[in-house]
Amino acid sequence: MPENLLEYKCPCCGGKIEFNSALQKMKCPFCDTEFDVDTLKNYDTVLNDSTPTQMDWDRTQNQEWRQGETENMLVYSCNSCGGEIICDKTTAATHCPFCGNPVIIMGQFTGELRPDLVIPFKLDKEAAVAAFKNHLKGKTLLPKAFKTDSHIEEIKGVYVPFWLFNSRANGHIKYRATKVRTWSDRDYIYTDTSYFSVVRKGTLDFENIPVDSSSKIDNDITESLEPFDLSQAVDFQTAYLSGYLADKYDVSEDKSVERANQRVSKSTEKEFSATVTGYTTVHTENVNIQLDNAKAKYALFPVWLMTTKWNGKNYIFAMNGQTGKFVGNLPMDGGAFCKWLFGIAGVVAAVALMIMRLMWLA
Amino acid sequence: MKKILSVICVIPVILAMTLALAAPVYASEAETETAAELHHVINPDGVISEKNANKIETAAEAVFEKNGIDLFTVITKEETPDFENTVDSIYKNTARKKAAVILLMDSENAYLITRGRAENIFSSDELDEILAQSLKQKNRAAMLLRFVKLTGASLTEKGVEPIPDGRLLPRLVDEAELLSKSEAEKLLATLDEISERRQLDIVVVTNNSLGEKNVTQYADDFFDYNGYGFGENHDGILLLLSMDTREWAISTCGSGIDIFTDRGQEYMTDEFLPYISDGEYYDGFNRFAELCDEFAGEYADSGKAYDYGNMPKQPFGWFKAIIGSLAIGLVAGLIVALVLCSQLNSVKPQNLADEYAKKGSLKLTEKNDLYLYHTITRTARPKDTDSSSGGSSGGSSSHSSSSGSSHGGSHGHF
Repeated sequence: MPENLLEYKCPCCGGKIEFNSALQKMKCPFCDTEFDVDTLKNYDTVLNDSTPTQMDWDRTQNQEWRQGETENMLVYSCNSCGGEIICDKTTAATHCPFCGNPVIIMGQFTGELRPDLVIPFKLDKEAAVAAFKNHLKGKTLLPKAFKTDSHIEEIKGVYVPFWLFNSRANGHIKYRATKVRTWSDRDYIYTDTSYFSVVRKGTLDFENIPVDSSSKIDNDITESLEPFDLSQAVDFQTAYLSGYLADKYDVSEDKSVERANQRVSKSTEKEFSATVTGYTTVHTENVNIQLDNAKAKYALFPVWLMTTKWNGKNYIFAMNGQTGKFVGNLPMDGGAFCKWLFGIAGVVAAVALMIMRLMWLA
Repeated sequence: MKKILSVICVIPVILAMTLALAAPVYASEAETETAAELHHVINPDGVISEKNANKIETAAEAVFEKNGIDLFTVITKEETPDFENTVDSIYKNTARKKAAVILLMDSENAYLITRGRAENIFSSDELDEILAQSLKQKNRAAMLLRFVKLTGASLTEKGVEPIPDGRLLPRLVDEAELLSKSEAEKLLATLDEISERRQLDIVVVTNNSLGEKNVTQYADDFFDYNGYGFGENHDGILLLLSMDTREWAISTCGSGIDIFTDRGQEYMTDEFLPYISDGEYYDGFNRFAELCDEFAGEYADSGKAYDYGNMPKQPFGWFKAIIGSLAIGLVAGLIVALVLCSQLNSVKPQNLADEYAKKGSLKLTEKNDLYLYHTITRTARPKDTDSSSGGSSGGSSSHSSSSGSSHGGSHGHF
């Protein structure tokens, strides 16, 4: 198997170095030496060259595994301590569970699998934890116990794989529109309704529509985290992954494009109908949108994922590692809901009754 | 209304002169003698003899007894310079039932004048006719007598009867027997109480047949000839139900005309007629009495009758108001609760790709707005049903009854 494990070692002290989101540089946690990512680029290639001799990775099939259980698993051994790293097939970057050193599985990024772009993490774990606490603030119907009892079970910085689609929409949309004019004389009100057939034909270009290509994360969550700022994206370097988790895609480009196309079609319809102006009513009669998709780009976007457990249920939260946008559904306190519902209803009803009575008395 | 007719007198001036010479002594005697007896004949100059005067007086008194209208005859030698004043003072001082027909005759002219209710009884044509007929007689005494007889006959023909000074019947006359005995007693007590308190007769009448009269005439006449109404203006209101034709009528009189405006009566009937239509007579009459009380109270308190722009308040519907405000409250509560609830959910799919559209990349290759056809429809403008804004209408319309008194009212079927 061609898969390799990669560890970035500090050229000064040999310690394991990680990408530091605050500095946007590589930093050795042991000797505090900082390195530019670009500097490491060359170092990267040097390492790659030397890996075959250095890396004695082994994919052992333990006989104690039952049939099928290992289908989605790969086992590596850590470069530093030799411990067994068990991960699933899509894992591309992780930590060694024994020595905690960041590990990158090179085999997940070779050839077709090499991402075109990566947006490096801008926000660190502390920022994510703070954002989580902030997320719980001001939520009136959140059960009070949730704030105190729930604690973050797991927090991980993950580079989530995305397909970025470029597409050109060729739209041909027909509308039925009316213009209504009314006037009146002494006895009658006249309504003049003019009917129009409106046609709009044209193109609209879309760029870099992201579609989450990892089946591990719910698409609703990744879409909620949008937008990512692509202007800050850089060419992929494995160095950026050091210290974080990463997955490779497991949903193909062909499958993902459907979701992108749905969104493009809806937006195209909206943009086109915005050009149909000056009418009283506009009714869409016929929509025909053809989409030309260019080859998709493969990108890794930074996401902080958190899970908490409360009352036996898991809650998943996610933060955009670039912009800090935080999402995650929270449980509702049914009692508080009723209190608010009937409290407000009671107060408003009392005020309304008073107003009615006063109006009657006036 | 007054009717003046000039008559060319054929009596020679000389005759008049001689009469004038004899007059002072004769007249003074006549005055002392007739002041007590001759109520209707004013004969200061003794133009007609005492015997004739007594004859006319008797005839006039008979008309008064029968029809309740005073017929005055004034005969003088000299021209009356200000006959209007003379007529007014006669009417004010001597007419007993607020109605008088006065015949003024001097050497030159004859005037026939009506005052009070009588103004409403005779048209000018009728007065012309009576005067013309009267003047055909040979002498003055005959003319006067003729006038009294003709007028009396006309009054009888018109069905004019004396209006009694006091109330002859109770305030509830249930000829059609729509109410049980206990209901009738209770209603009558209510009517009496309100009437006395408001100094306004509130009368409920039911009957089985209107006879020759229409429903309004019947109601007016029933009010007049049974002496309903407080005070000299006969303040009151009467509700009549006639069962054979299922007609109702309201007749108002005196201050009742002002209190119960046309709009006010419309409001009242909307309130109490549904009961009557349903056969709930007691409830309907009771509601009518309540409304009369309410209307009279408003008039007494504010000096303004219920009319356009000043209608009684519907009673405050607590039930409706509570249900309504609860509904408003629940909607408001639900909105707030759902908004609070939506704070908890931050995961939602993005269905649009607007932010990924290249700015300015929208290129329309075809932009075609084709006119097809047009239709024109017209609907009638809603008519202004509430004319309160118009301000033109309002108030009470009135008419005169057979007795000549003014009545307001309304009528209809139930």
